[in-house]
Amino acid sequence: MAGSRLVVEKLSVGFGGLLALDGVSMSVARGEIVGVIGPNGAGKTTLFNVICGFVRPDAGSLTYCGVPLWRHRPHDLTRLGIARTLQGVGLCTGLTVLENVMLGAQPTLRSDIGSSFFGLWRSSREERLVAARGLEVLDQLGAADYARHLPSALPYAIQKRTALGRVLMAEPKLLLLDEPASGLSNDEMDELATLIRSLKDDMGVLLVEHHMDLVMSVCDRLVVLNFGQVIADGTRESVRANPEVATAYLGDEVHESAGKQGTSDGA
Amino acid sequence: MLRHLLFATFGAGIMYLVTSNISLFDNYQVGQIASFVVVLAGLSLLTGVNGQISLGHGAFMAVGAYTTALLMTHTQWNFILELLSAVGAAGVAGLLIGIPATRLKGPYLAGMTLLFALALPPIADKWPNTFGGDQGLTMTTPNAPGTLSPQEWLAWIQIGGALIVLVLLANLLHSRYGRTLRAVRDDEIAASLAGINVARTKVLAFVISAGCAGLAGAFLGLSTGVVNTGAFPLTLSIQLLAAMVLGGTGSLIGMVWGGILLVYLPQWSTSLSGHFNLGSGVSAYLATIIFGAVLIVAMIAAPNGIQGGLRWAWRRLPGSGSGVGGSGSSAAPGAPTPVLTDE
Repeated sequence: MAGSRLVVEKLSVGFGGLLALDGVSMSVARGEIVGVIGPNGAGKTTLFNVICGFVRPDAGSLTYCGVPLWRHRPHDLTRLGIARTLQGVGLCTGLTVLENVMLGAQPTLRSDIGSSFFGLWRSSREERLVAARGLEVLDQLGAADYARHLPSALPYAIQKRTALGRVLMAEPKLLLLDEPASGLSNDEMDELATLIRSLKDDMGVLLVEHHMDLVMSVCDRLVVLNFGQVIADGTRESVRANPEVATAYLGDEVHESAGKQGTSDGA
Repeated sequence: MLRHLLFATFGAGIMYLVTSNISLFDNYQVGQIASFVVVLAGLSLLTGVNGQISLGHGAFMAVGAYTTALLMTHTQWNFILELLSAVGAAGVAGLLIGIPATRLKGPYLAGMTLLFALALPPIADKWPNTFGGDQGLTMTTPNAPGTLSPQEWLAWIQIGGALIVLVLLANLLHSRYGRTLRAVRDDEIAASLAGINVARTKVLAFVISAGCAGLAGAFLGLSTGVVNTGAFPLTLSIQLLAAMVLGGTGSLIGMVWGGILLVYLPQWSTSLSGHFNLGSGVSAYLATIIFGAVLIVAMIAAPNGIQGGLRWAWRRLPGSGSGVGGSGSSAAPGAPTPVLTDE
């Protein structure tokens, strides 16, 4: 797996008596967009939280770019080249849109606290450069007009773009998107799909999403979770054709066969 | 940055005119205001910008004051060095309090810092030989140069110190550290995902804030000429917090209002109680009562403090831009308008 960005092997996480993840194995390659789908409570967000270091796994391993990822903490991620968006927007309400985006570049900044205290050239020049790059990213996302606004007063779609801008500032090698399309209109979702596809050149993208339209149009590969276990892993077509997936998740779309199998555990 | 320096120079010019045209006692009070501005600016950074509350800043001031006083008693160090030691010692105290504080929030953090404010003064009482007991330790200001009166000279040291602190903090708030501090205040999870070490940032805020308090403590000790355990009671810590809120949480320049209130409110309340012939039992607490009352009124009328109210009024002026000059940061949470042009 030379080009692999992330390899997850036999990952298990339990909360009390509940196994949130049960022997999950999956991978994301460079230039690949992998969608993680599954019903609510299937373990998608827990998988993200383990990758991000918010939750320690009980068993299993993570390998990032060929190196084991072990006992990392959330603030180590951007330095490693992993960026994540949060469900909802996860923006800092007291920072302007531009400042929120500039936050993404935080770990690359080198000016020390001394030069910041004394307002030295080193610190202020770096600030100007970061601000300029933040504006570029916002421009690319079509949100440059809102740079000086506080996010809470802006349309939801702009807030989502700001959150996306922040992760792009970090120039990640592995991008984790947690429900990027929630709350977006169809048009906005199309724009998002185009954007995500345009990103993937050098990045591995892992996408958790409920909107099947977006998942089906964007992802190269799908991993389906149910009750903490991987029940399918493959191309869009193979996953769509998988009866187990249909039962667990896409039951509505293949009404006849789902009815016969008679399980309704997809809530 | 240049803008902050220009602003400070302007402030220094005004203060020069003020101090040379007022009485010696007024000079003493202006110096006290400047001292309070130093501690309030640090508190504003901690609470307003970083979102951590502290009821223990009076104790950090005591650490600074005793450090300088002990150095003055036992060594012949340079005066500036003695003041910087106050900053350093209080900063270390801030480190010790700040590390456990990263795990606490809101009322629990308030409780822990409150405990610190309560627990520190008895330590000085316990070793009267070292800390001077009730009499305390004397603090002396170096001789004034030329024909300057000692009061004016001390006021100048304090004003100069306050301006330097304001410029340094304003620079910091406009750097990447300012952004980091505010991000941690707003959303710790988002901040950590952006690569910010949340715990380290919170400790840093505590150290800087405590360092400012230490300098302010040394300054106030110089004003009274003596430092003893009675000089930094718990009510001081609470009044500091109230004055910070009244000045405008998160603002630096608003702390001037806070300092003015801290110095003049007790004085007004004393003359008030004398006017109405109130008993000594009442008059002793009148300042604190008035402080509380003013705080409640301000929370209803101007939740962003005096500086926030002024900023709001300034934006309402016809034909004015929305930015206010000076080193005030625009980080007050819940600022009335969403557009921020003040960089």
